[in-house]
Amino acid sequence: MPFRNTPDRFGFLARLFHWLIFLLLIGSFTLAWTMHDLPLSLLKLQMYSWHKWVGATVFLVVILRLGWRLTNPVPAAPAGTPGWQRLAAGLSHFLLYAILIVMPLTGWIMSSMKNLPLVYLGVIPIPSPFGKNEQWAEILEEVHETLGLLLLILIGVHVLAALYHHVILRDNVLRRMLPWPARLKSPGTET
Amino acid sequence: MKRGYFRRCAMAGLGALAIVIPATGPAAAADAPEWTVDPKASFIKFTGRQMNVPSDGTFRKFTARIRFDPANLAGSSVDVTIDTASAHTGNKDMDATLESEMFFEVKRHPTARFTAASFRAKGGNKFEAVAKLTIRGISQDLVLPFTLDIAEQGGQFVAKVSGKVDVSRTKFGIGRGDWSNTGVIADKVVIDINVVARRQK
Repeated sequence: MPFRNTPDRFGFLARLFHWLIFLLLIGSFTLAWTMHDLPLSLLKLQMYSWHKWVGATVFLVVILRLGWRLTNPVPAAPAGTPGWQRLAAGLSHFLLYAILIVMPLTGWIMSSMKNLPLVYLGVIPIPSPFGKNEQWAEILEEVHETLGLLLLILIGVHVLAALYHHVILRDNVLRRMLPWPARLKSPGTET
Repeated sequence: MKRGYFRRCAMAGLGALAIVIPATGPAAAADAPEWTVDPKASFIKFTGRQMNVPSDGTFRKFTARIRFDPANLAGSSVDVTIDTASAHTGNKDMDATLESEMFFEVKRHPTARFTAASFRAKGGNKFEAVAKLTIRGISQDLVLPFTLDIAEQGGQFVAKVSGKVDVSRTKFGIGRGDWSNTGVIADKVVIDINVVARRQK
């Protein structure tokens, strides 16, 4: 199993990053929706801390993933993909990365502004340099939630596009990112 | 007859005590001079932890009667009354929770009190106050180490006091019910005191 990407498929590490972020996001959103409406309680405090740890981990993994992407060939779109689809794919991938970086940052800064700074895994204190500020925290909370909604929409588009490639176009686009090493169709074969 | 005799003896004994105590006991010391606290330059800060996340706050309102003289520790005394509703953390939810019956229960216990009547010199500008802290009507003895620096400024003395002490919140019943869980909310709360006080020369 190739560790690095090749021109026509993603390597083990790129796929690991992709699906690790997928799992982390499931955890993060589940915690976010549950904790938000809980009355202030021990469980709520615990869930906020867990949510912050997961978010900080997403941030770290995305940075590693982008670094890995820069040093690896990115498998190309199938030949014959229309220009608008290439543009749409490029734009949505860019936005996905951007949100996955900006969203944890807004959460991190907001936490310190609410006097509840990030202590990663309960061990490493990472206070933001901006300090406490309740008014700004509320603005950042809106930004954080809006980005969350935008992220879900983009993930929806991402999934539909992948299914479009797999089910309608029957190409390798989804197959090459599957978590397990899937056999790729050789170009030009029809089933 | 017998009763009168005892009473006379008792009176005589008390009289003797009244003469002896002022001559030798600690009450003999004259009161140390009184200082006026500068509320703008002074603060009482507290830092608690939940999930090992530190959150701090200050008591914005307190009054203090301070009599202190490093050369007359026996005549020195401190009495601070803290307005528990003035706890401010910069987080509305946290402030509301601190006010509630789960924490300070400010409706029933609007004030906390710190009193010290015994001090020890620890060399240089270092001192210790043997004090009593009362929160939620529960008193605990504690020793507050502090530094004191007195300077002259515009015809008056300016004293800077700074001290730090750890207290156990559960000993005061701070955090009731679920909130007494020290696994999530640490028992230790650090109290940080910085007081600037003045007096005329």
